[in-house]
Amino acid sequence: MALAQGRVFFGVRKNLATAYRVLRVTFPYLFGYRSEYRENTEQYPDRVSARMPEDLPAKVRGILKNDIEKCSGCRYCADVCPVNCIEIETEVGPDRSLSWVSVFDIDHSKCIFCGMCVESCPTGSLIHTKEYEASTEKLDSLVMGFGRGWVTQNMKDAWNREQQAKEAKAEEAAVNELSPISAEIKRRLEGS
Amino acid sequence: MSTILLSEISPFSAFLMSFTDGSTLSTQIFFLIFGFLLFLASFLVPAFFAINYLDRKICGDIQMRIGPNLAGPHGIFQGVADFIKSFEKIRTESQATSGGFFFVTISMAIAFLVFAAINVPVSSQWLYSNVDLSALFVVVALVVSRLFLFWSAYKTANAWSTVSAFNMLSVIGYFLVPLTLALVSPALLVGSLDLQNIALAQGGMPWEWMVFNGPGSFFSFASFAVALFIWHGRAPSNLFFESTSVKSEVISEFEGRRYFVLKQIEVFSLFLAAALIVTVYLGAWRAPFSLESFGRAANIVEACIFFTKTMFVTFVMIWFRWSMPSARLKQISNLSWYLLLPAGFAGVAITLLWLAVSRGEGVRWWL
Repeated sequence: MALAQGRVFFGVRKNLATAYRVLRVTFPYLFGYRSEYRENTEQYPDRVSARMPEDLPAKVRGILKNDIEKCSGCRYCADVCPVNCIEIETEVGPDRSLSWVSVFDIDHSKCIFCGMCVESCPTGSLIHTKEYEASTEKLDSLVMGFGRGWVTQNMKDAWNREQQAKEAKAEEAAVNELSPISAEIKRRLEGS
Repeated sequence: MSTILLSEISPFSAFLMSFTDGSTLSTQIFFLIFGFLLFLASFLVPAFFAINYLDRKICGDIQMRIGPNLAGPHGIFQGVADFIKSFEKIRTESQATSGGFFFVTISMAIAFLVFAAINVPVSSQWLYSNVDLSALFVVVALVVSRLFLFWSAYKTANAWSTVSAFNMLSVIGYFLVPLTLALVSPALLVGSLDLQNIALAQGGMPWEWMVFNGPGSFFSFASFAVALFIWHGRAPSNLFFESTSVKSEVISEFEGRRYFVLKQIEVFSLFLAAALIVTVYLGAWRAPFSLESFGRAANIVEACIFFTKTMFVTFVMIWFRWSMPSARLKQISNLSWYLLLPAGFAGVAITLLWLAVSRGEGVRWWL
C-alpha cells in the first residue's frame, strides 16, 4: 500500500506540527500585546466615535454625484464602468454643438465604488461625495437620476422660437453692424 | 411514585425536590419538568450567549477587527441582542422547505442533541437523566441527531444541501469509530460506561484526571477529542456547517427564524463536544479540595468548575477553528483512518497492557 506505516507516522508528526504552528501564529492576535497584532479597522463612523463624513480623507469614494451643467454626455464613464451601472441617453438640445443629457442614471445597488468613472470624466462633472449612508428599504431608490429629462415637443417649439428670435436679432445686429453705404445698398436691393 | 423513584429517574429533579417537603405525585411531576427546563437552561444559556460572543470576539481578534462592541461594555450583550432580534425575523418558507416534514426533522435533530446533553453530569447531583451506559447513549444521540439533519437537508433537493448532506453521512463514519473506540479505555479503567461513574473515578487535581490515568489514556483522549471535533462540524472539518461559505451547506434552503434556530445547532454542538471531553477525560466536575462543609451548595461550586473547564475547552476549539483553513473530505478521511483509528487501538492496547501489569488497578502510571 502507498500509505505504509512510515507514511502514517510521518503524517502524525506533520499534523501535530501544523496544529502547533497555526495556534502559535494566531496566539498573539488574541491578546494584541504589540501594535501589529491589534485591530486594524476603524469604528463605523457614527455618533459613538468621533469620525464624521467631513473627517474622512479627501479621496474617499462615497456616493456618486454628477453636475449635469458641466456634463457633456460623452459616455466615457458608462463605457469604462465594469458593472454597467451608469445609463446615459442623449438627444439634440437647444445648442446643437452640445448634447442634451436627458437620462443620467447611476444604479448604486450595482456600483462597486471603484472610481473608474470619476477618473475618466473629461469635464470633471462626475465626482465622489463623502456620503456613505444610503440604506433604503426599496432597491429602486438606489438608482439616482441626474439627467435633464426627455425632450418634449413644447420644449422643442420653445427652443425653435428662441432660436428664430435669436437669428432675427443676430441678423438685425449684423445689418446694423454694416457700414452705412453697404446698408444702403442692401436696403435698395431688398426694395427692388 | 416515591421520592426514591424520582431520584432513579432524575437525580437533579430529586435534588431540587429535596428543598421542599412535598412528595405528592403532582409535585414530583412538576419537579421533573422544572428540573428539565432548569438543566436545559444551564446548558443553553452559556452555549448561546457566551459562546456566540466568544466566537465573534476571537474571530475579530484573529482577523484584526474589533468584533462586537456596541451592545453593552465591550459588546458583551451581543448574544442577548441577537436572541431578541431572532423574534422579529420574518417567518418565511420557500417552496422547498414548506410542510411539517421539516418541522419534525429539525425538531428531532435538536431533541436528540438535548437527549445527549441531559446525560452529561454537571455536578454530583446536577444530572438530569439517570440512564445506564450513558456514554454510549450520548454517542448514539449524537449520530441520530446528525441523521435527522441529513434527512432534512436531503429532502430540500438543493444541490449544496444534498452534497453536504452526503458529506455529513460520510463524516458520521469518520467520527463514530474513533469516538466509540476512545470510550473503551475509560470503560476498562473505570469498569463502567456511565458518565457519572467515569466522573466519580477521577479526581480534582490534573494528575488525577482520566487523561493521565495510565499510559494508554492519552492516545484515547487525543482520538476522542479529534473525533468530537470532526463531529461538531466547524472548521477545519466544516463539511456540513459552512460558516465561511456563501452557501450554508445543509441549511442552505432555510431562511429567517428557522435559519437562526438551525445555526444554533452548530453552537450547541460545540458546547456539547467540549462538555463531553471535559466529562470523560478532563476531570469532569471534581473539585480539587474538600466540599463537605458546603453542604448542598457544593453543587454550585462543582458546576462552576465544570463550566469553567468546558468554556476553556470551547475557547481552544474556537481558537483552532479560526486558525485553520477548512479541510477536504479526503483529508478528514485520512485523518480518521490513518491517525485516529491507530491512536484509538493503541490506546486500548496500552491500557489493557497496563491493567495487566498493574494487576487490574488503574494506578497512575508514573507512581
